[in-house]
Amino acid sequence: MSSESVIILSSILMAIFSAIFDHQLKELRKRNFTTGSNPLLFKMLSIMRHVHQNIPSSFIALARLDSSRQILPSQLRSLAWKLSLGYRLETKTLDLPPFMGFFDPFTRNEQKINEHMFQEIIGDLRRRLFTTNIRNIITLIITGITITPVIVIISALFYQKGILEVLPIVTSLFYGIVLQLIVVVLKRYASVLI
Amino acid sequence: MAFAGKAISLTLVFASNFFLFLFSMTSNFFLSFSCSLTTIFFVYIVVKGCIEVVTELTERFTDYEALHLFVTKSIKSLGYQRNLLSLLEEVYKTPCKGSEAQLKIRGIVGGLLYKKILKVKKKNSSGAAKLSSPLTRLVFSLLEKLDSFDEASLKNFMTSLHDLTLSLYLNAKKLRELIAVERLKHRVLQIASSMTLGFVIKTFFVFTRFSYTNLTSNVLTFVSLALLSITIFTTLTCAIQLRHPSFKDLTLCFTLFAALACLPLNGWV
Repeated sequence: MSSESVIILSSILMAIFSAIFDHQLKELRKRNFTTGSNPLLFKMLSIMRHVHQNIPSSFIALARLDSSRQILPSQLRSLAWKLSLGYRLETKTLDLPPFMGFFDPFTRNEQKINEHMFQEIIGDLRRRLFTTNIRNIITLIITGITITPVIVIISALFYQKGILEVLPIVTSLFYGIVLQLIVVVLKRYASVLI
Repeated sequence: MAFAGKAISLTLVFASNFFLFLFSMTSNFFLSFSCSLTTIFFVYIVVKGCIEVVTELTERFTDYEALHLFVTKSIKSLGYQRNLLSLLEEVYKTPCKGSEAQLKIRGIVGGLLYKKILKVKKKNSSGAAKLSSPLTRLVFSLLEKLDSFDEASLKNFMTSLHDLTLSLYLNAKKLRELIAVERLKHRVLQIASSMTLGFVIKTFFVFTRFSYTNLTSNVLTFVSLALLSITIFTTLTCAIQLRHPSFKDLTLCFTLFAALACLPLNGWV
């Protein structure tokens, strides 16, 4: 393959990777950054129930907020409607995150629940973001990819100069990998920010 | 728009490195130029998207902080204020220390007072601070709609909100601390990798210049590739750190790289 065609191919690859990344980013923003079960949403739900018990009118107002703005997740919005119409809340109707499987979030001991839930949120946050060492692995991979061309160039200079022609492809692949890693990490951060 | 300017300048840095890299591979100026132009367009879209998302996520931290401050101040004032209107006015009049979250509260409460409650306060709404967090938006929409709270209901409402915002605030604070630690580690690794690249290039050049005569074009190709890798690495991974890409990082990495790669050729390797 001539160096011209390799350059054109690498540009096309970069364009494709950019378009895919842009699409993924738009999808993420369209879903308002929430992916999967978010512990804070359940916290919010328990507060909404609290508000409903104490000030029914405020809850009805909350449920009647402009739905086109998509402020609340659909699950909470439908629940708000049901509660304002006198529906009784059952824990079974919710998809509880795994760590909440062993207790009912709507018991009377609110203080204990709050403490427990907060600890679980922080624990889940740590587990999801850092104990898996995902970021360390990402950094090591990126550093590794940055250093890899050194080996390529040494072998190219001493043995086969033709290897040098593949460098634009290596670069565009590096670009694509970095973009995908950014999407992975952004999703992880964003999922805990409601 | 502020971030559009940043995105353009970062794209230009990226594209100039990409052009150098392509031009060192082939002498065809037209091909290198047209490929670089295409890349400019796509990289601009990527960088702009990254900066927008990072801005939005960073603003959420401030939103949660502002919401927490607002509720805390409201609860403090509840003993003296008997309805929502006077409560909001009290929070609005609280001295502002100049932190971003406090300024945001002032803007939001000013906006509420102007829009829904006290229409006479025309100039006080300092542009109705934009809220990115859905929860904060929800709470303030609720406040806008409910202007007939009595004292007891208001107290219950604020206590419920306090419970929620405390969790959110502590959560966001913890996340911010964890990000700060990771950022530091990441920065050290960035600098280390750029130094390693510079050091390897220099060592390699010194060892081979006596045995191999025509290395210039290959070494140029490799140097431009290394520069491009550092640019991609530094510019795009800034998004992971939930902060705006800055020229300081780029400059530091490039300077260390150049210092180790280009300075005294026969010197201290």
